[in-house]
Amino acid sequence: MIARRRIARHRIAGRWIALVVGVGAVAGHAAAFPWLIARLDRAPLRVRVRAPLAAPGPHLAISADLPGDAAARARVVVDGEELASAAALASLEPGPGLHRVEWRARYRGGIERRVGTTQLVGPFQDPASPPCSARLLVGQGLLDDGRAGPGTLAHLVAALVEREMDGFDAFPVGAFQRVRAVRIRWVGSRPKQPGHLRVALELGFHRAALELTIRLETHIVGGQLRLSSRAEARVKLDNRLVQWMSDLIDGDEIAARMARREIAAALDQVMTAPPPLPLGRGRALELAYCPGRDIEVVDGSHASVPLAVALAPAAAAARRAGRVGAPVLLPPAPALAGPPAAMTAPLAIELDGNALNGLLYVLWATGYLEESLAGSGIVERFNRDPIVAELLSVRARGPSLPLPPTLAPSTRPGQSYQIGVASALLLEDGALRTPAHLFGRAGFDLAASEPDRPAGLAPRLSLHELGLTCEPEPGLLEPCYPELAAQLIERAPEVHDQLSAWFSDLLARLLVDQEIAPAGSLARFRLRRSAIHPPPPGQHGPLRIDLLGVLESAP
Amino acid sequence: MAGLQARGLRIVLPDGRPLVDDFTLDVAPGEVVVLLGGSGTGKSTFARLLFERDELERSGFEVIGGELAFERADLGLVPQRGALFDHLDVRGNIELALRYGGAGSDADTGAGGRDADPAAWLERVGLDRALAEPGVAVDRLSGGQAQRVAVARTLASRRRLLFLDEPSVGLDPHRVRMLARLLRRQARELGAAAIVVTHDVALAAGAADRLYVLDAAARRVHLLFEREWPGPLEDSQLGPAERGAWILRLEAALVDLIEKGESAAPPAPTARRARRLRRGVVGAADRMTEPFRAAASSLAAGAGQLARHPRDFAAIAGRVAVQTLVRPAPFYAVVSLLIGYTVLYVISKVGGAGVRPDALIRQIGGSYVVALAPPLSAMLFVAASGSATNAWLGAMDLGRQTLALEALGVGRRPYLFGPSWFAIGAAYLVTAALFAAGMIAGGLLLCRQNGMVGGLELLTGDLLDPRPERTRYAVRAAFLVWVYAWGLASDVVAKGGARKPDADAVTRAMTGSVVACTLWVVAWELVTVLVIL
Repeated sequence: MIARRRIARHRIAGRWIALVVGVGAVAGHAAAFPWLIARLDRAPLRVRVRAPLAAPGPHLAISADLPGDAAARARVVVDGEELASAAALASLEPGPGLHRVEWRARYRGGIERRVGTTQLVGPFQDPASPPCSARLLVGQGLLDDGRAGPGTLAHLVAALVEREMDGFDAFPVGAFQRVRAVRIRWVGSRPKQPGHLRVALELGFHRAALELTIRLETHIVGGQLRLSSRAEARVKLDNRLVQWMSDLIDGDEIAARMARREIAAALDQVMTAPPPLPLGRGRALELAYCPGRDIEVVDGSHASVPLAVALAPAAAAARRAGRVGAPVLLPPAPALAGPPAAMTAPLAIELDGNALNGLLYVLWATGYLEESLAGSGIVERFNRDPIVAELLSVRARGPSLPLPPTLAPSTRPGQSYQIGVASALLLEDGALRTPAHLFGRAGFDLAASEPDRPAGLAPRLSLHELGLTCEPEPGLLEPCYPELAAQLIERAPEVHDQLSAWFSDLLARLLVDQEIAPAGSLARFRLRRSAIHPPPPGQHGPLRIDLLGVLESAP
Repeated sequence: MAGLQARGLRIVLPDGRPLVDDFTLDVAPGEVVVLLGGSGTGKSTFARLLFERDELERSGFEVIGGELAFERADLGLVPQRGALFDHLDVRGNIELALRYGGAGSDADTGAGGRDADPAAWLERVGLDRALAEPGVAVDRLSGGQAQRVAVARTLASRRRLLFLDEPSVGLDPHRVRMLARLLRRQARELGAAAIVVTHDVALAAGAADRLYVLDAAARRVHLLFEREWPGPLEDSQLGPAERGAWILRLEAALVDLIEKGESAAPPAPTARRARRLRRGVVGAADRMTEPFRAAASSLAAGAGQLARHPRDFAAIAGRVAVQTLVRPAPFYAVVSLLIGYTVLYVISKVGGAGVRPDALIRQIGGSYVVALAPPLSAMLFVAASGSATNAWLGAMDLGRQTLALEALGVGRRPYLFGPSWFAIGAAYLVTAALFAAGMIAGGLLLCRQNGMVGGLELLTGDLLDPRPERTRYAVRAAFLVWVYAWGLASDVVAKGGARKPDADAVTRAMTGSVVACTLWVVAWELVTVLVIL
């Protein structure tokens, strides 16, 4: 009986122990759950980077720390190309341009998270001594169409001479009547004779005709266009008796005077570097003569004036605004020399990659691009998009451009250049405001535009890379609204038209319906429209912009 | 010692009324004693006193004073109708007794020689050896055969003190006599002692060395015909007339006592209301906390059983796996497929006209499976699979198989509840996985309808390789499935394994388990959601 009682007591104790163990197991599970969540929760792809906006040398200067789980999974992708290992990033020499370094983690089901940073890598152009990266092409068609028709230099010269000679009356030639003939032609260089402009004029007087031949040589000296002229004159009198009197008229002097004044003034106009294109608020886009380079003249075809983008004012403005960066110096491309293909326009400008980067830099450094981007309303359109407005709580503010948009040779088949743009946004989600970076890289699809089309410009941007990254604190990158970003990337083709329209508008404002007239000039070039001739697909040659317009006397 | 001595035991009912004031009974090795009495006089309570005294006392009975001496290891039970284990065949019933029988025997090695041969034990109780062939189901046996197998099973377990509870129920007179002879032979040949509780006068007269009767009016045990009884009629040389006379005399004495007991006024309940209330509260708390105890004890007992008796563990676990997994698998497959398809279909249409369904499906991914598969599968599992096992365990108790197990020295917890608990938990884990697969398959159908490629990767992404912001949901789902598995198993074992006085108790246990498990699921869903928010 005692043994049975002992057994019974043991059983009761066993029941209590079992109850305590059972309740303890449940309580243990309840306590373990938060620990389990904390232990097994995957670290999001959050990257702490140290990366200046612009690399000091030709290598990417980016170092990154990733959390353990993400480090094991993340792939490093530079400009869309995956690196074999993260260590390869330090030794990568990607070439000049804006480079996008992304850390991507893929998850089952086609889910990808990515964060990235953008760095500008040199070498850079020296704003104090920019490279000769553009040329102005003055076509024979602008000089003389054979009829001295309106809009040509011949027509303008004739008008200027007649205005100058109006009222001239001298014995024995009599009163000046009109310019009977004018012929202007590019004459290519020959041994011991540099290329020059040959102007032949025949002035009609009451009793005689005066034939003038003027040879004008052009040089760039100290960044200025210098003209040197040599004039010859021969008087043809109707009456041989008074031939002896010809000496009394100093025909050479008249020719020299015309060469110095009317003709030189007109020529100065057509061969001048395009005057600064005003960008508003005192800003300008300016091409300057390239010091130390000769003007090339091709017989009966054209003359080529070497130019460089004037970077110094923009660089000074950027320094004042605290902006970092400079236009990159691209590797040597096909030289800006020789006859342009199918030059039919009176005037044309050829710009190579460095010139284009220089122009973009000026537009960026002066703040013009940001204003233009803001004016395009792309961000507002995103915020007003019905889906965004009705379904999403996130709104975008901005953007600003911390680095100059940069052109680089495209690696994509059929495209010559691609443009990379890094922008900074502020994403607002209720009271939460998160700084973010949006990087886009677009390929230029500059189909040769039709000159007779009103717009004249039809560049098409194909957005083939888009990355959105949040930076809640400086140097900490994390995926930004990943589902939203994924949708944006998926919908990127839908914004091609918007981007293309913005870029067309930007070019049109610069290149359509402009009047180019240096101060005090007797003539001006009225630019009606422009036509773009891209380099052949796959080549990184110069971009030619035909300036379609007429030369006319200044009012 | 294979006998039993009970002296002056006083048994009090839970309501305070005395059931028996003086229970005195002796049985020695080689003897068969018969305990007669009317219904409700305490015969079954005496059986419970012998086999599950703790349960009896926990349910409110009190056993006061007196002396009860016997070796528990000698005591074996032959329940009504045999109570053969229906998850085993005839051979399995005997083998189980052989493995667990006797103190210090090695269960899986068994004893050697003839004693280790199930067929020999069947032969010993007059059954055909062919019944020991593997695969002979117990439900193919007649009542008499089942009763003999039960006797053989008890003897095979080396029990030499047999307690036979109404062994002649359902037997014809011929088989009753056969049973009486069988008992006498076992007593004679094996020296076994037997206590037979019965109403059957013929069996009592045929087998008993002594006849005891429970006097309901006096609430005591009398020895009938103390000095007159000629001994077991099956062994005696008496002629048919004398045998008949003794049977009639015995019957008259029994009827007389029963009539007296029924005419006596029952004693009034003496237990106070507060005591009843306290017992009610304790009982309710006991029932509520039983799943926690079941979890701990089943884990320990099941692990021990797996280590010591892997074959028995596999037999029970296999049986439970069939009940909880194999049979309802088509049901789970169809339901999960429909739910997966329907849920994703509804989600894909919430955008209304103009919104691409595939865009919404891509956003959702496999999160509908992560969110819904654990609670839905758990609630369906407990309603279908849990109820099946609950009913099986309840039926085993109702059919006294559980008591028979205990009587063979086979603990309910290690043999039955532990493996069941493991099997239910494991079955739920598999069911949850199947359910998730079904929901994914339903989603895949919708993906195909919408012409989506990579649907399988998309829908399984949140489970197999979730993006960081969804990892916690996947962890939560896995955690919930784990918690549900063992919570459901514990409740089913606790409620299914509880004593079942009647068939209604089985359905009460099933319903109670569904309700309790649903509350368990809801509570964990809420708690874990609050944690991860």
